[in-house]
Amino acid sequence: MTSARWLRIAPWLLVLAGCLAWMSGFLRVESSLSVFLPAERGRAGDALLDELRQGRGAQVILAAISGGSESERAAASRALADALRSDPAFSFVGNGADGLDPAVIELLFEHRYLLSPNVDAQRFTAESLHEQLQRRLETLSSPASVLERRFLPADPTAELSGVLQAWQPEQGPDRRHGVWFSPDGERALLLLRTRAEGFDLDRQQRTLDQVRAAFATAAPTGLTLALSGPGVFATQSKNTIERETKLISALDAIFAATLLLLAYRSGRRLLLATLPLGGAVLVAATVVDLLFDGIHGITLAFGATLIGVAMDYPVHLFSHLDGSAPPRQRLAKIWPTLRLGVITTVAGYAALAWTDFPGLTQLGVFAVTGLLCAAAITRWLLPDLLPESYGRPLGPWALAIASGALRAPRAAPLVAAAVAVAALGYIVLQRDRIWENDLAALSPIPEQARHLDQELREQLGAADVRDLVLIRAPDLETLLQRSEAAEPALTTLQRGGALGGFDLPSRYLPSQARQRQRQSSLPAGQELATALNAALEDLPFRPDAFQPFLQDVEKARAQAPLTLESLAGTPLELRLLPMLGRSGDGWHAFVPLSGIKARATVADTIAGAGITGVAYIDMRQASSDMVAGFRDEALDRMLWGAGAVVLCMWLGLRSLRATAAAAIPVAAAVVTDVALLLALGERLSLFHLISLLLVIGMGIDYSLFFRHQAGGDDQRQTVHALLLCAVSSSGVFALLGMSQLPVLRAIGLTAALGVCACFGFAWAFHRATGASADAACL
Amino acid sequence: MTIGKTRLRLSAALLLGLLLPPAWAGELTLEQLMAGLRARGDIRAQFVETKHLAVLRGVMEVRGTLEFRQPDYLKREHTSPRAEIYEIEAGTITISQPGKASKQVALADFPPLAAFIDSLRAILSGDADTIERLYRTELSGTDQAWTLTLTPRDRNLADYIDWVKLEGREQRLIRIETQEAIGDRSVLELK
Repeated sequence: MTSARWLRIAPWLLVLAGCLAWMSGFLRVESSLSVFLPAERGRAGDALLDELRQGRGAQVILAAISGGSESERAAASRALADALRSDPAFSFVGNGADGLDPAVIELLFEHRYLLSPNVDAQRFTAESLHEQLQRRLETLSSPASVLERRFLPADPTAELSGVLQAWQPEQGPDRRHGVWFSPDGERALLLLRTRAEGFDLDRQQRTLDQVRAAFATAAPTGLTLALSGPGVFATQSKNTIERETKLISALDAIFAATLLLLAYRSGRRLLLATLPLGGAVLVAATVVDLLFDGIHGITLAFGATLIGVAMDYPVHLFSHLDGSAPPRQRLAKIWPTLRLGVITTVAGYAALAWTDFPGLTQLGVFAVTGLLCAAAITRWLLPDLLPESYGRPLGPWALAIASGALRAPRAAPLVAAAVAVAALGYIVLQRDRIWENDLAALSPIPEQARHLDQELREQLGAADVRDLVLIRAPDLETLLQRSEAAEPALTTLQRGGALGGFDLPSRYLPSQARQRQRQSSLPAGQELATALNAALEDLPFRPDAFQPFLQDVEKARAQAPLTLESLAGTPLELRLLPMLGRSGDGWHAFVPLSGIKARATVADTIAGAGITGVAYIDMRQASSDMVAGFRDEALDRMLWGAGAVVLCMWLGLRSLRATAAAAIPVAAAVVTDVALLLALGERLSLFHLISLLLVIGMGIDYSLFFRHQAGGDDQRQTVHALLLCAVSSSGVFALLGMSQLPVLRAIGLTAALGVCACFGFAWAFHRATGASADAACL
Repeated sequence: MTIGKTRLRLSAALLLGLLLPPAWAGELTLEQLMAGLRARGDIRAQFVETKHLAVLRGVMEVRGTLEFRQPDYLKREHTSPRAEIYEIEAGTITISQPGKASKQVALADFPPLAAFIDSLRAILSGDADTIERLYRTELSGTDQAWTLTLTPRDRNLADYIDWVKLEGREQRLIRIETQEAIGDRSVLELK
C-alpha cells in the first residue's frame, strides 16, 4: 500500500479505535425505561409521571417459600426477613413477624388521644365511659389480659388498640408460627419493597440476586424460593430477550455470511462488508453517549436495527467491482445514487430527534450519526482497503439472474398498483384494531408465572399495581387532610364489596387539624372526673384506679400534635415514607387499592366524592395512554420524516415526476407491509413503527437504485446488488420474525415483509415510470 | 394406664435417685419432678382462679376446666364469670365465645404471652429443658408435697411477671400462683 493511502486510512482507524476504547471504558448503558416517557414539562400530571418513572408499584417483590415442613418454612421466612431487613437495598420487608417494638408503642401510647380514630366529644361521657369500662371488665378474665392490664389504669377506653390497628391490621394474610402463610399452609409468604426504582432493571436484577443469595444462606436445603412481581418479570423478560436475540443474531450472521460468500466467493469482501455497519454502531453509540451522558440499552438495540440498511452500502460497491477500473472509480459511479439514498434516509430519521421523548431523540441522533458514518466509511475508507485492480466480473449465473430480474412484465405496474390500493382499503377497514396499547400483550412472561403472581398477590392481600388513588396537595398538611376526606368514600366502597382494601397515609399520621380537633374534644379535668365517677358507680373497679387516665387526658389537652418530623428515625417513619412523595409543586401520595371487584363503581364513587386533589387512576389505562402517546409521537415524527424524504428526493432528482416515481414504491410497500401485518393478526406497537422506519430507509435505496440506469453490465451489477440486499435483509429479519417473543417477532416480521414489499414495488414500478437516465442525482 | 403403674415407675425413678450418690433421702430434683409430671400424661381438671387485681375493689373468680394433651395442646374453658374458650395449639390461640365468631391470635405476636404459655406447657409435659431455659428454678418440699418457684430469665417475660409458684402433690399439679410486675396476683387451683 502506498503511504498516501495509509495517510487516508489512518484517521479512520484512529477514530474507530477511539470509539471502541470509549465504548469499552466509559459507555454508560442505562436500562431505565423512563427515558421512553415524555421529558418533564412542569405540568400537573407530573406526580403520575413520577410514579411511572420510579415504578413504585414495580418495586414490590412477592416471595414464597415452599418445601420442607411448615415449621421449617416459617423459620426460613424469619431468617430471610432478618437478613433482608438489615440490607439497605430494601425499604420494607414484611413477613408477618414485623411487630412494633416497645419504644414505638410507647410513642404511639403517648399520643393516643390525638391519634385514635375513636376519640370525639362523645367518647368521654359518663355513658360511654361506663360502656367501655364494662368491656374492659369482661376481658379481665382472659388469661391474655396480662398484656392489656398494664395499660388499663391510664387507658380505660383502649385508645392504644385503636391506634395500633392502623399499624397492625387484623386482616391480612393467614399466619402460622407467627409469619404469613398461604391459606393451605404450603407456602410461607413475604412482601419486599426495593429501594431500586422499578424500571432500573440492572439494580432490580442485583436486588433479586441478593434475595436469592440470602435465602441460600438462611434456609436449609429442600426449601425453594419463588419470586414474583413486576421487577422480577421485567428482568426475566430482559434476560429472555437477550438470550433469544443472541441465538438469532448468531443464526443471522451465519446466514448473511453464507449468502455473501456464495455471491462474491471472497473472504475479504465478507470481512469488509461488516465494516460500515460495525463502524457506524461504534461511532453512533459514542456520540449519543457523549451528547446524552449515557445511552439507553433500547436505543442501542433499536438503533442498530434501524441503521441495518448500512449493511447494503458495501454490497452496492462490491457488485460493481468487476476489475474494469480501480474500486475508487467504480464507487464514484454509484455514489450519486447512494448519496441521495443516504441523505434522504437521514432526513427521514432526523425527524425522530425533534421530540420531547428522550428515548426517541436518542434514537434519532443514533440513526442519523450511524448512517452518515456508514456512508462515509463506504465512500472514503472501503476503496482504500482494496487493491487498485481488485475485482472480477460477476459470474454468468449472477448476470443471468440479474438480467431476468430486470425484465418486468408489462402488467407488473398495474398489478402492483392494484395490490397497494387493496392493501390501503384493508387498512381502512381494519382501522379500529390497528394499534396495540396494552403493554402486557408484548410481555414474554409465560402464563404460568403470571398465574403465580396473581395467586401470591391475593394471598398476601397485596395491591395489584393497577389501581391507585392519587392524592396531590401543595403541602403535607393539606395532603393528609385530603387523605382523611377520601376515607369515607373508600370505606363505603370496601363495605359494599367493590374494594378489598386500601392504605391511606392519614391512617398512620392524622393531619394536624384532625389531631387538634380530637384534642379540643377532650373534656377538662373536673368534667372528666365527674363523668368517670358516674360511670364507675355500679362497677367493681376501685374509685381511684383510673387516676393515671385523668392525668393523661389532661396532659393530652396541651400536647403538641405528632408530626412527620417527630417520627424521624423510627420504624414508623419507614412505614410512612414510601407512601409519600414530593415533587416540584408539592406533595403526593399513592394509595394502592387491593382486591378491586368493580372498577367502574370505584372510579365513579371517587370521582363523585369530588375531593380536590384526589383522583382514581387505573395504571394500566394510564400506562396504555403513555404508550399510545409515545407511539403517536413516533408516528407524528414519521409523517414529518416522510415529508423530509420527499423534499430531499425532489431536491436531488430535480423533477416532481421522478420524485413521485421514486417515492410511490416506498409508500406502496409500507401500506402493503402494514396490511399484511394486520392480516396476520398483529396489532401495531412501537416496535412495528420503528421497523417500518427501517423499511422506509431500505425502500428508498431500492427505489433509487432501480432507477439508477446506466445500461449494460453496470445495470445488471446494480440489480445484482439489490437482489443480494433484499434476500439477505429479508432472510435475516425473517429469522427474527420466527421468534416466539412478541417484541422480536414484531420487529422481524415487519422488516422481513417490508423488505420484500419494497423490492417488489421498486421492481414492478421501475419500468412503468420510464426509468430515464435521471442518474444525475444531486 | 393405671395410677398404680405410674406410681411404680415414679417410685422406681426415686429409688434409683436414692441409690445414686450423693444420696439424700426425701429430697426431690427438678428432673425427677418433671419425669413424674411427664408420666402423668394428659390432664383434664376443673379449676378456680382467684385474681387479685389492683384496679378491682374485690377479687375476681374465674371458674372452668383446664385441659392439656401432650405435647402442646392447652384449653381453658371458662364457665364463670362468662362462657368462653381459649384453645392453644402449636403457635395459635383460638378464642371463642358463644354467639361470636372465633378469633385467632398468633402467639409469636405477643412474645411475653408466648413465653408464659410455653412455660405452662413445659411444666405440664414435664419438659425440664424449656423450664430451665426460661426461668431460674427453686424447688422445695418432698415428692409428696412440693413447691417449684420460677423466676423469669428472659427480660421480655420479666417485664410482665415477677415469679410463678407451682405447688403439687406427688405428680399432680394443684396450684399455680402468679405474681405480675404491675402488682396484680392470681392463684389458680386445680381440683
